Amino acid sequence: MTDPIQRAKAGDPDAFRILYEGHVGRIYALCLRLAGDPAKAEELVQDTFVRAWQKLPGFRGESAFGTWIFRIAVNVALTERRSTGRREARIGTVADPEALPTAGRSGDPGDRMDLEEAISGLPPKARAVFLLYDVEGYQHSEIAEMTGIAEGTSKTQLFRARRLLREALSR
Amino acid sequence: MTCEQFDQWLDAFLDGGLASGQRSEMELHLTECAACNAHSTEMRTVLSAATALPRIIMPPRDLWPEISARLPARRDVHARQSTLWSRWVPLAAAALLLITVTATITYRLARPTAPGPVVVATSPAAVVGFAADREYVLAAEDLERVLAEGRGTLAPSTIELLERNLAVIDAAIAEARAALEADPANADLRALLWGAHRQKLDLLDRATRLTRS
Repeated sequence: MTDPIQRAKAGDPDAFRILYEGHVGRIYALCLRLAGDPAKAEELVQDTFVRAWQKLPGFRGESAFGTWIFRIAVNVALTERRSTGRREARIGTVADPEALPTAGRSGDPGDRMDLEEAISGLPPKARAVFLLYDVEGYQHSEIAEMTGIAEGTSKTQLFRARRLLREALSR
Repeated sequence: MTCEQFDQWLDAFLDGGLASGQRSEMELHLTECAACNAHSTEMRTVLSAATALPRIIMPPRDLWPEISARLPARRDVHARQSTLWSRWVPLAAAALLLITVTATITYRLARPTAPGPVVVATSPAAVVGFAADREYVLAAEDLERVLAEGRGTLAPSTIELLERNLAVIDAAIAEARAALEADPANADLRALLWGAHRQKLDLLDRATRLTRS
């Protein structure tokens, strides 16, 4: 049994570490963008891999391991977001492009760092849909399945996110 | 067409989701309205930058120790498997080597002499004994299969560029792998090999997304 997935399913943590090393970069990138905060992203990465370890015996290999764990990460991050969001809702969320971060803005709407910063200032749902559709390349039907929102909501949130970003980056 | 209508259709227009009649209306409005034209250009720039964002970012520190400490034990199962594993690993390695050698010989004997259709290069066999290498190869093969299904949607120049880049990365993988086989304990070489693999996965991933756009 040389396959690390099969060995990890059987309970071998060393094999699971191989899977961790192969996939942590993609999972961290997603969590960092969804959370907008490196410390929170590290927590989400840890939660994702612990959850994956728990669910691994049920992994049937119908999708690639990378796709499977990516979906777990989305779920972990959004569940965390929902509970944090309930607390933050009392304070208010960003829905106005004027309120998006502007520090260090280059004036070029294609500048990567400006874009990362502007994404981090999007409202959570719009940010998640934008990341999954425009950065990760998922379709609305897949996003709906992953996040538990309706396809129409996914399209509406994407519409909103794109306009907020365009306005924020063109200021 | 009003500017409001243009904005409502802009996403579908940029995503290639409009019927040809609607697309013509949008294109006409672009020539007539400087403000909408500027908005459309800015939106294209944002979307293009989003597509180019790196999809792999390594965390600033190794998170494994904390993850490892939180893993609930499934070690009883693992202990049984380990016994079997230690018994079967030499046979499995030999079988893998045999399969690789046989496949290479078969391929060399069977390949046509005339140039065939352009295909995306597949990864060379993994380093025996390095399971992560094999995992990367399998992941790349997954993506290559998806890419092969959608390659008809890509422009020849895109395919050519993709194959050129894949060839460069494959050469880097082969070089790092050969060095690692000669010096299996060298952590730097292992990091180089994993880095090259990740580059390949990222490139394949992006190309696969292009076939879907």
